[in-house]
Amino acid sequence: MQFLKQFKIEIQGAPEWQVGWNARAAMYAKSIQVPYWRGVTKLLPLPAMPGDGSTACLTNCGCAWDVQEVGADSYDAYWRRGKNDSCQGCIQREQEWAPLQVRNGELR
Amino acid sequence: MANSTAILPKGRSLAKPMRVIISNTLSAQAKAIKVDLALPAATWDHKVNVAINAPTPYERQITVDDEIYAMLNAGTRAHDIKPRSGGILRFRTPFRAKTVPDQIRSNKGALGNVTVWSHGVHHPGTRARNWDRVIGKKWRERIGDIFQRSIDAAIK
Repeated sequence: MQFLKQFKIEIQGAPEWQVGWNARAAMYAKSIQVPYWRGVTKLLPLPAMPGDGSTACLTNCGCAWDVQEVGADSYDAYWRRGKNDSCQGCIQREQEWAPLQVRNGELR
Repeated sequence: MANSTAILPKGRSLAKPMRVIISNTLSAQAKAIKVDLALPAATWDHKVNVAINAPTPYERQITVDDEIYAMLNAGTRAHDIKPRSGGILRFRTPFRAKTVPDQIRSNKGALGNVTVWSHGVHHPGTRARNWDRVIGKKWRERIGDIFQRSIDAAIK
């Protein structure tokens, strides 16, 4: 939100619309991914969310969590890539987190 | 002689949820760090082994078992390189490294296509990549989010 507020100040202070602002605005719009994925992952204690900025692709991340229930309070969570040109971080996560295991509420 | 009795909170004990919250936070952060530590070696010719150990329930150690990785992470001082007795050095140029300081990634790099023969060279040293510091800082800043997710998961 602080980046968005700063963006608003920049727009208000500029005489005309700048090149690159459309892409910047789109990037902020994509940041809604994080709360979305937090909801989809049923509040599991996972290390990261797609589009949370912890990978080189930042909010352009096309990855997703694929959560499969395997028992009571037990889940397998797979990091799935959604783009062919994923960054190294997302490729590595797909290999490492295949799956992340949550058993009886504890991340293994 | 005075007797004292501890006043315990009613309802369920918080001991187990707290243990799970802390353990999940540490495990999640360790798994994220493990992924990042592997990234600088993603394009290398050999595989680098990154492991997570938990010496105690409230401790995680993430280790990389690779000499080249350790050398690049710490960097080297300038030094002379001499050929073994009776030999001559051979290397290719222009060399382009696969990694750069303070970046958690790995490029293709290049050995170069011009072969050079020499009786000795002065190596200017290798700038430290600082992967441990950069990755540590990155995930220290994010532990609040991970901790919150662990709390949310425990009290859902």
